Amino acid sequence: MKQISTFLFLLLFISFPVRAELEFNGFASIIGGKTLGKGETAYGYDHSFGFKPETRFALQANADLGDNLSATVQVLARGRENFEAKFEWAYLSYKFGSNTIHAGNIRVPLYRESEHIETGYVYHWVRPPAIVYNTFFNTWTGTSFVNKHFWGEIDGTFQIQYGRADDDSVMSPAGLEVELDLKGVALEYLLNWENWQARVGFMNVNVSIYSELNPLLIQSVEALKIQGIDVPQQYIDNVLTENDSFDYLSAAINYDNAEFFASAEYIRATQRDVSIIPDINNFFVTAGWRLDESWTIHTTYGEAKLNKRSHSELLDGVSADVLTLGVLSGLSNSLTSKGEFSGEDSKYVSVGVNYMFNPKAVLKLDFTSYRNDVATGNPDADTLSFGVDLVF
Amino acid sequence: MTKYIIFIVLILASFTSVAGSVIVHPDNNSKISELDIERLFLAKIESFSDGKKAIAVDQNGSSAIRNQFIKVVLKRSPRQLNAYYAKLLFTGKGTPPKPVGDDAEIIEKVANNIEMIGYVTHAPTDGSVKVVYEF
Repeated sequence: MKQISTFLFLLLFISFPVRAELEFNGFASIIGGKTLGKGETAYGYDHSFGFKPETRFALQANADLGDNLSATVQVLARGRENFEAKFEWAYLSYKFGSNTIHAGNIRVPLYRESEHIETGYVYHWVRPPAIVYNTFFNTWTGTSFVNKHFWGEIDGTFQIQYGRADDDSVMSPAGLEVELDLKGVALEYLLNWENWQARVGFMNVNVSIYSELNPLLIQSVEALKIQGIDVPQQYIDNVLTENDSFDYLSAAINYDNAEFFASAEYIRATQRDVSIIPDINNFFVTAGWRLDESWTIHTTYGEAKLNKRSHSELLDGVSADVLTLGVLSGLSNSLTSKGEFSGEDSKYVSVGVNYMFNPKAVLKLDFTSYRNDVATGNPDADTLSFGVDLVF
Repeated sequence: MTKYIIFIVLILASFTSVAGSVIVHPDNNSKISELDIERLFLAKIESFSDGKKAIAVDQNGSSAIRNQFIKVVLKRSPRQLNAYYAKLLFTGKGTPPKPVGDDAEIIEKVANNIEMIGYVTHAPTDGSVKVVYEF
């Protein structure tokens, strides 16, 4: 699908060479960082300095095709993908009145900063707080409808998207490589009034995840079969994430009077089916002061709360004899402790200072501390990062 | 005493003096409020109150007039505005006004295009453009 849409857009760009007015823009973030403790890892960094995990370059081309139609591609090269250029966005836009329809590869409006998450220049952090902005996916292929309207001095933006993402290889929040197939609908409503902005978002997606859990479960099922124990299909369905329905609810409020700004964001992800993936309740609050035309200082605090499904819940709806249930209970224990979605409640604190040395470029220094209550392993990390975000 | 009064009046006058003018084509008869101008330059609306297409054009770089316009009319700082424009541009949510030059270039463009709206330090009085707002 991605190849097809990429091809289509290339074709469009080639076939409108005379009429279309091409416009190029871009942004870049050159970020370096390291964790402070030996053995700690975070955001792709370890104890020795690295520049690859968060460095990225993007070039956007926009062609106005006339009659309210335009085509846009955004090519992004990420250090963590060895700077292989990828079409991050590629879409056609059609405007009518105060409405816009986009179709193609688009970014999902999961949270407040999701759609412009790669453009570091537009927010004060080096990266939005991972305690909320830690997702399986950012973009999908689909279509969006955006409507802008006004209530006196207040202006509102409504957006609805429908899309699908099927990626061979994405990083799970726990840092495992998984295959993902996801489709669903996302809604967003934004209100702006003077220095205030409020946002609510809702998304429902059907998700299938293929990870090392799948072969592990199959092996276990085979092994039990040899011992004469038949694992009921219901149990397998409960453990695997296949066409499971997830709801994401997010809300954010923001205040900015040019000298002082503060915002808070909350997300809640729940699932409608029995699953091995925990429900989450995460939030952060952040505040910053623009000391003068150049300097900004800011701080952020966040918490993540996991409502873990108990092992016994994986036995919901499973009918089997007592012996089999006992064996499955043990299996559930070992599968969940395998830790695909391991981790417990966690806390996140960051402080940073920014220096705008050019109207289009900001130098940033950030210290982030992350603490997780997990008993085994140690995802805790203190990370120092710095770099430049720019737009051109 | 009168000297002092004149002095004070002059000081007050210097504070309230006009820094710039928002201009449109002389044949553009739509009503344009301060809020409309703010919304046009923030790419929140793309038409005038009569429903006809509007194209906002910006001054180049970080000129004094641009800073003043951003502060007084758009009620933002230049860096807030840069970030806001970058968000629009890289998410397809809108097209920021294109910088087309200084006073002379903006006047020339607006005088020749009924869809355009711009702002300048000194608006000409020869009728080539119409002043719809002063700041």
